[in-house]
Amino acid sequence: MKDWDLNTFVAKLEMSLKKFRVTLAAVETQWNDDAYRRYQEKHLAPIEPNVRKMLDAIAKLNEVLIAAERDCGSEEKGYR
Amino acid sequence: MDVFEFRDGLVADYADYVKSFIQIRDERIRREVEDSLRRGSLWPEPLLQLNPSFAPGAALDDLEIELRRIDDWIHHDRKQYWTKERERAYEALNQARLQLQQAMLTRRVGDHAAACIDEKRAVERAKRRLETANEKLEAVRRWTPKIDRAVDDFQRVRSQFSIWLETDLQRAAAALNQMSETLVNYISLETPPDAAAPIDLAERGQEGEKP
Repeated sequence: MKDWDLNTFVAKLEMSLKKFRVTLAAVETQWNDDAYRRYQEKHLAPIEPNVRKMLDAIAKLNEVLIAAERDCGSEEKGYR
Repeated sequence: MDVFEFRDGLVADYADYVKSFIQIRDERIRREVEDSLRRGSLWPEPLLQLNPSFAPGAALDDLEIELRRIDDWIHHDRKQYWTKERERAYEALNQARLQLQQAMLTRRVGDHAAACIDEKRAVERAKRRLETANEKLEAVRRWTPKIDRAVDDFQRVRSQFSIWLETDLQRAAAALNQMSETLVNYISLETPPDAAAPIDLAERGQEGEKP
């Protein structure tokens, strides 16, 4: 029987990404000089692609697991 | 709102308020107290705090546990479950065949064999159960290397993500702290009376540069 859970991690990551976007929007209203632009380009811009890459990797793994669960599971009538 | 202007206004108001209580007649003591007030003895440096403590590793540790569960599921749980199910199905088939034989012998009428429909159906069901268990075991054998590969591929991305969290993101936090310190130092500067040109905060805050 399946007992792993990748969804909690995905939810945490997506929630963090959402909070990050909201915080960034708030910060940008107060801090928008050259120093910010340099900081944004070097440190903030890579955050979303990195998190997205991780989420995509989990989605890919999940696809394999769902198919395996369908083939190896015991959920059909007569089993369990 | 200009936060620096606000801070200066607040300090000036508080200084006026404090000074209104102080009446010192001795010239030397009065000078010393005024100097001390000018140096800001009664109003400490502004406190700026960034980044409450967080544990980026905790969620990744949880993820590691889930990956071990996946490994356990395909390598042990599924393999054991279907191996046992095949044994049970095999026993059930033998039992069904035995019951069919007994029924055929006991219900035989002269040269006519009995239909024994229920027993035959039971044998068919048991055969299907055994086939399913064999198919499932084959599926487990097929999926085990596929899942291993998928987990390995994922581990590579997870590892890169972890390194990024521990290096680049920590550097980003450090750079922000450095800029914050630069700002605090700037706030504490006393403006010389003849200073006209504003300090370029952007330059001072640039990462890697000494303020």
